[in-house]
Amino acid sequence: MENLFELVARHAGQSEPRIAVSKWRPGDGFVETSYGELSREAKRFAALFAQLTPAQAMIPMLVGKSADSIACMLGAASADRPFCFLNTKYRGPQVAAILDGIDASICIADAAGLVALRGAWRDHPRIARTRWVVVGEPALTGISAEAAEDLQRVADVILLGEHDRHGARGAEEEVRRHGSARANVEATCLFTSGSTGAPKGVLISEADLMRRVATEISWFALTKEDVLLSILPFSFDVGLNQLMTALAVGAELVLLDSWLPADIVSTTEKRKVTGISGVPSIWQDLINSGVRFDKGGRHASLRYITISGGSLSRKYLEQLPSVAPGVEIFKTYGQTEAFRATSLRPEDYQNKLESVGKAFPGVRLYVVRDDGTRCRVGEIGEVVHTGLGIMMGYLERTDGNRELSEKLRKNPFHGQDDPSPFAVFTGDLGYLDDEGYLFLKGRQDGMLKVMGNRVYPQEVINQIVTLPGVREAVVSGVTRADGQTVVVAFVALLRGAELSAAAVRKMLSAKLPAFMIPKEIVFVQQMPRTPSGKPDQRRLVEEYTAGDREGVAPCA
Amino acid sequence: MTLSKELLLEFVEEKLGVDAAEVDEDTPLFSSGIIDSASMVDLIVFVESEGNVKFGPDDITLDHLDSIGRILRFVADRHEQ
Repeated sequence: MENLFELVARHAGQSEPRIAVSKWRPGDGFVETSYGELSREAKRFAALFAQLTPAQAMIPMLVGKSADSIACMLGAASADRPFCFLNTKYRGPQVAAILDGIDASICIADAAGLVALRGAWRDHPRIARTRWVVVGEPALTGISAEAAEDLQRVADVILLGEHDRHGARGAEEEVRRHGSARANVEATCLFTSGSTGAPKGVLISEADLMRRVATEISWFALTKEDVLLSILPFSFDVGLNQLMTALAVGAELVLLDSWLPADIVSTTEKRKVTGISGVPSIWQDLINSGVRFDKGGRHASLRYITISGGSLSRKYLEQLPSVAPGVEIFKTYGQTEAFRATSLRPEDYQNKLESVGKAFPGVRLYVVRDDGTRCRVGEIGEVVHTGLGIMMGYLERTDGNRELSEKLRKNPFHGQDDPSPFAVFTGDLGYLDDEGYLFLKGRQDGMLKVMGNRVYPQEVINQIVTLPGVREAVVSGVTRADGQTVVVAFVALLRGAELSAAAVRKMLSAKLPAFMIPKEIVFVQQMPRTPSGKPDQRRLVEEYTAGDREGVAPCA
Repeated sequence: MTLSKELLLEFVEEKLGVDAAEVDEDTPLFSSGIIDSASMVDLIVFVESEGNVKFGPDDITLDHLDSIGRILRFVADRHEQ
């Protein structure tokens, strides 16, 4: 199996120049970068990394989406160094913890990364001790330029924008000779917002990353004629996989820094986008915005969209085909620790609306009871994933061997039918129907017990969002001072809608058993989001219990 | 009251928690990550009421909202129409 850098170099070597990346800038339109340019830049970065870091050092990148950040990633791959994209929504404490965790000597930053870090180096000596390589695209202006100057006062900073990319000479020799993707070598580290709040590093091997890429290319039938729209950050596994598949197949990746429905729809038209990977909040916003795709007209190019990285409420699942008529909808389900586990094919969408589909090629799924035995059809248990896409382990265990943990265990179903030595216990609850389709019920740690009854938050959410005026809801268990756990719903309304807590409860009483009805309804102006676009449940609960009525203000 | 640069800066500082001294007319606010996307609805509501304009579904784009200059141009264009 070839490694990613070589695949890109191959696309670059073709006689007809091909666009690898086009980046949208408000007001300026699209800036295009060819595979040839990308490959040349990557070689320069490879030389720079070889010069600045020890062999196999992990290269952290606090960068937004740009041709430069992609070239950086390819440069790291080419210089035989694992890369990791850090979300630019991270601030000082998370960045410092990650730099520590990977023992970084350098870190790449761009304008977005500098904005994220502004001032943090004063409180976090780890940041000042790091050597910063600042890439020049997008150009530094205003706040980011000031941040760069400020950082230069305390840390060693290499500004590549004004620099000749030193080390460009002799770059060719630095490019890796051995071309194959290896199973025991880390390609990347993805950070997830672990349930305790501190980012957790998930190590993915070269071979596994490339197998994920190959599987996804065939699943979405991607070719070099495709144009994929990138809305999600590269630090998020779904966004990263979209980037990798586009590069591997030689397609064009359109980088969009806007999540706004009108921007998504107009970019799709302008670049003739064929595929979009999205998370539930993107599609929910699109449905509520009133803009839609016109497959028969200006969006004829659009083949498919995905719903990844979380569940969309039933109401929105039903409405989505009407804002993207004729466009194929794939649902995918997976975890950072065990990538794509299942996918629901477009032809099953109507019949199995709330299912996340069947196991991906190369993946095996089991639903197990607490005692480890397998559940019957329809019985709810924990989802267990074996085969393709299993992490090497968490970052703190970096000796190249997989170390077992609560999540990563020996495969209890190992045998002739399932040769995978390891299994990921996802912590997700679900069941398989009689045709083998997986239905998720929520997180194991999110399931609530109320008066001896099990409450699955998603079931309650599904009903709340069907109420008139409701845009989005999060349901969580909150432990009160008296030790009692109560069901609390955080509800965001559509613009201009009015609804009272009493009205919500009254309407729910016709739809749900009494124990499922939230004791408290908290209206929020804006749903806070995690870096990957999911509702930030932890923050909602924290602000609620802290009585911080500014963040979660009752608005009706 | 009509929408002005000063009024927008005041809003950005007081409601969105960004040091107004760091922001000029062309500073990208959302695409740069200076302001979180979650704050966009608040900004739109403010611009609609102070600028006496209405954003239609196709108007809510970064072209119109990503900097103070862009917001002012959008509002001015609307008033000309």
